[in-house]
Amino acid sequence: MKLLNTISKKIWFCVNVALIGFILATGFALYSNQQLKIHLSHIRDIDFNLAIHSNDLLNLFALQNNYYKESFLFGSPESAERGNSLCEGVIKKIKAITEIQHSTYSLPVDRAEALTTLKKRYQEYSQQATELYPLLAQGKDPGDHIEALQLLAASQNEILSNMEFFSKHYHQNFSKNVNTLIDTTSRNSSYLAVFFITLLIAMSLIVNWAAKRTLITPLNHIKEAVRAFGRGQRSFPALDVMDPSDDIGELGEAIITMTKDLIKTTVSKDYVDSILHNMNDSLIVTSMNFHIRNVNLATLNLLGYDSDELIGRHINTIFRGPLNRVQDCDTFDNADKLDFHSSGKNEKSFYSKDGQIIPVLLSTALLKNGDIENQGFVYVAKDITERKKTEEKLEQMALYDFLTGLANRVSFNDRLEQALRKARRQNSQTGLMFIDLDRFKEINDTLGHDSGDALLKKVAEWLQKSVRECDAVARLGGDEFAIILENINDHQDATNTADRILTAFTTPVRYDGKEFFTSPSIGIAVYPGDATKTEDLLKYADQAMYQAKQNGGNTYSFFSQQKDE
Amino acid sequence: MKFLKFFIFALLLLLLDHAKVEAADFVVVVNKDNPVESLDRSVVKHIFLGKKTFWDDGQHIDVFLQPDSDLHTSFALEILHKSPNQLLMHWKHILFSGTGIPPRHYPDNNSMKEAIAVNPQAIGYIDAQQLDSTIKKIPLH
Repeated sequence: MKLLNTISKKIWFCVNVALIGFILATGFALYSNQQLKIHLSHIRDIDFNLAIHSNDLLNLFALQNNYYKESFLFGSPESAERGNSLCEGVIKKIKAITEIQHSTYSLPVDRAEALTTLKKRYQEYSQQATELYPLLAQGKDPGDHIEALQLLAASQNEILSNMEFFSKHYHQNFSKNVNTLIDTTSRNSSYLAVFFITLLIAMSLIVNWAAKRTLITPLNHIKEAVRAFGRGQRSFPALDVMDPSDDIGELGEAIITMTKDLIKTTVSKDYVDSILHNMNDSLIVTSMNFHIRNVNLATLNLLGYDSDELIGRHINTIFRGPLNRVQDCDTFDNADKLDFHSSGKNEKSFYSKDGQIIPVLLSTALLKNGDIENQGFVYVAKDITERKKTEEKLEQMALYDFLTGLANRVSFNDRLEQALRKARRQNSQTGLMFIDLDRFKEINDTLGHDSGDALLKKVAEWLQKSVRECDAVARLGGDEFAIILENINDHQDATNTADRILTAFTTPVRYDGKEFFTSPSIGIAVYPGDATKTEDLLKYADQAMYQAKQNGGNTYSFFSQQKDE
Repeated sequence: MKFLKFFIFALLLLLLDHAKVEAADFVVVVNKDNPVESLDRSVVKHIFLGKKTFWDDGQHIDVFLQPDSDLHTSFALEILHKSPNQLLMHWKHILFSGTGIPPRHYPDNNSMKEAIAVNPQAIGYIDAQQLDSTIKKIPLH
């Protein structure tokens, strides 16, 4: 099969086989018809003519005989003359038959001799007959010519039987040859039919074999190889044995080369899968209409779902969670909300299966097939719970006093602004209380900073206990504290609070085996009675506190305009 | 030919009529040495028409006829059931086709008697009144 190394050669081979078969069949039919033609011509030219001429000869001779007989029986010279006149015709016929016989190449010698003898005998006979019969017809006594008549009758009979033999023979020959021809024709037809069918079967077998061997089998190898490649197999022994000088063999080689190159230049799906599966960040792939197609192990671990529970569901299953917060602006209702052209990176929240909110840093990208078709979205989410906690801690540190856990000055200012706005809105009164510890510096100096800190913590505890839930307690710095009393009815409310504080301070503070006391000086200013501006209120409360300090400490003092003046 | 047949038939009728008027008596005769004692009429007919050509002992039969006469006519009509002309035709036919030798003719009773007397294979017929000892009469039945 080295010669059939291109597909066109292979196809031409099949076509040529069919063509050769066709030509063979046609040639055979032609040959058979030619043989029939020769046979038919022979019958027409030889056998038919011989049969006709010999029959004519027989008839002529019989006619002549009848004339002679008539002349002899009834003494009619005219009949004898008529008989004589036929001699020439009979001899001509014999000559004609002889000529036809001579023109055939298959002339039997004995029949040619028989014809010559017949001719000679007839010539003798006719010589005598033409002399004798007219004589007898004219009234001569036949008794004088009995011997001659006997001889004549004898040769006449012989000639007649000879001619009958010839006529019969040639007639039989004719019908025999025609029958042979009919037999030959029908035999040829059946031979041709058998030959054609055999040829057809043989050709279809050859073509089938050639096509299978040179085209179908190698192509099947390639088909199987490509399928196997799709399934992940990387070696194809059937392709290795293919002839590389062959067209299809080249294809096989190309596929082997391609697979080798692919193995070199690409990573397997399993490899990619394992990378994605084992990465720490959550990976979620969705379709264009946000149905989840694929998630990795990190996603499942993070959210507590099984992959079966997520794949095929809408992405909002994760974004919304079981609480179904429709009002959440972060849900993805339509693609317009996403910036497709740049990968967005935002802080979002996932909802795990058990309803926990998991803060994540989410980056979204459009998944493209080539550069044309959008296939879906890829979400990569990083769990930022820890970072959030840290951030909350930092926030705590910024807004609250680290020692006592109370609000610091910054948040106190905010709270105060809020409280005053609220009071302004509600037309209610808000009290502002400034508290300073008496002799705190002494305690700090004599008993140490640790004791001071313990004291401050205790004070914060007392202050918290002494106020209502809605009241804000803050440490402004050092031993200065402030309390916002929201929505008080009158000064008495503030007085009551101040009394509870003073009572709380009667308890000693124990630290490091030592017991010590401290007392507060409390200044109170009330909005809107004392001031409407925040700065004023702060200033007045501070003034009132100094007033209390001047009054000896361990007491409270309301701001009064008169004192200022 | 039809006309011919009709003609022959008419002639036959005429002759038959004639024979009735002048019936001549004939006897069939052979050589004295011929062992034959009697013959069937049909056998005689066969012999004279050339259909039987050998005696029972194997000798060739030489048939003798007389020329056209009353005797010949009555013999031909009675034994051969043919007119003399028919008989002539019959023998001409045989002669033409070469199937037999026609009988010899003897002009009168005497010459026939002489011929039969010297030829032991011969057979012929003569006037009954002319019968003598030189030849043998064959009775017919």
